[in-house]
Amino acid sequence: MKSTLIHRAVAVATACLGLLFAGSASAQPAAKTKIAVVISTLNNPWFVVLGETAKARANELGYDATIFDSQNDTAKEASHFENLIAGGYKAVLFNPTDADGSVANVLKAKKAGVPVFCIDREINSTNAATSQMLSDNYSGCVALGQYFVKTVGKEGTYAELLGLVGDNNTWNRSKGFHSVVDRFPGLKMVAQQTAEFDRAKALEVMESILQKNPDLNAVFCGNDAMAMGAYQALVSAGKADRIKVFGFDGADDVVKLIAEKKIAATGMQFPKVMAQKAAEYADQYLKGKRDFPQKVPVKVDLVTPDNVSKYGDYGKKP
Amino acid sequence: MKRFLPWLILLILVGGLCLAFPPFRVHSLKAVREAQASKQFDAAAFVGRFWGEKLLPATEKAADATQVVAAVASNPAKVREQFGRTVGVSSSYFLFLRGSGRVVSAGDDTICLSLQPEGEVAEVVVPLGLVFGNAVRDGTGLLDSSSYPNAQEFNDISAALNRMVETNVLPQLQQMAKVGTRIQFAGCVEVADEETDLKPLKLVPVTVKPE
Repeated sequence: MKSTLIHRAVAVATACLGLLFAGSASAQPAAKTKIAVVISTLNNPWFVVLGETAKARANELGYDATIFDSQNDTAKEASHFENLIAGGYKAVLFNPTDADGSVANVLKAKKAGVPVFCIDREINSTNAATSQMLSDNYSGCVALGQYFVKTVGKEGTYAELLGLVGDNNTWNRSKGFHSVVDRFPGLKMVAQQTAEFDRAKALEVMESILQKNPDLNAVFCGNDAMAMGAYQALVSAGKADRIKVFGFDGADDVVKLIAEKKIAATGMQFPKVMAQKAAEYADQYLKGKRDFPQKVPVKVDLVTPDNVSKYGDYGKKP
Repeated sequence: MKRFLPWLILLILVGGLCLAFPPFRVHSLKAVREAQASKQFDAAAFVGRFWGEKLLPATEKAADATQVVAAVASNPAKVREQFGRTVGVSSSYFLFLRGSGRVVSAGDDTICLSLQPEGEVAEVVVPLGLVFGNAVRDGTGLLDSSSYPNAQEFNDISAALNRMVETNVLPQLQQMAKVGTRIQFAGCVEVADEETDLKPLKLVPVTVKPE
């Protein structure tokens, strides 16, 4: 009798303990869905803004977002993709390192059921990424080219600093610019060299170009980091007030120098708009939406001393 | 000799395998370049077909220019909603319109049209000279960037369309445009700034003919 009572007491106590643990387990918050933000390089403030904005918007929408830096290395990017697929990430906001080389990484994610939303740079495939939010670089540089002819004139010499040769944006920008400027035979390009979108490299390349071409009228740079490097070289050479500098991106430091009339113009790319939209698309996908446009062009605005007051902080002022 | 026989057999086997399954192939640079050139997108040829087969027939469905101008006068804020086409994320939009107008001025840089029978005020202006921008490519809705894996092909289409306007349409317009004559037209407008781009409408024409 006594042992039966003890057995019953133990059974009840065990059941109560079990209920207590079950209750506390269900009271714990469910782990947030993970979203990866894979950025080509964090060595450029423009891409830092792109990555941080994408992460912030994904977090706002209730996800746990992590930034991965590919350091402009397609192999590192591939390693990130392997890790994020294995690590249970449910979507990727992706800024590719190479239009061709990055396709395989996106296809791997697609095969694993992980949607990829490209930001800023495209991949050369229309059936890998779920959607691609792309700056209309070509058209932006057509507008820049028209302003270049207007301010430099229909005659003169200029240099061009190109970005990374494996990036479609390098050629979209260059071709957009040349589609205008090459129509004016009096404008001669005396040097065209890559500075890999890097400020320090642009400084070196510009110094070298200036030694061979001291009487340049202008320099067109495929991004604002290179425009800052080129401008630095011109300041050191005492030619910053004579040689016009044109950039592309809409970086804060260049926008400020445009307001001071030290740099001629840039193209505002709206990294925050692209990054936020990509995060929102990922959210919609994870909630069941499937019909996304493959490519969403994002217009680039020409920023000059005439309208610079409307721009700042990587976008248009409210 | 017997010592080397196994190595000789191995060499023959490896040689045979390499012949059957070559680890690399050598192609002449010329052959590779020719193969690449044949795959390259020919924007001029594409636009040549697109212009006649799709673009010109589509002008029948373009918005009536008179209605657009009336909307600009009465309620500019509604023009985008009623007649405009926005591509992607953009503050700009495009109009695709057709109509007829009276030439009020014909200079070296522009030809100006009034849509009123005896009007003197330019409501549609056609800039002459080099054509840039994406008004014709994006204004009609007939072409979509999502269909092109590489944006450069889509951009080449825009440049080729602009060249068609420069070489085929604008010279025709310059020949027929005398002050007082009436001209039928269809074309596209890009509105980047509503304060400057609606009054008058800056038209990139795709077809013009005397009325």
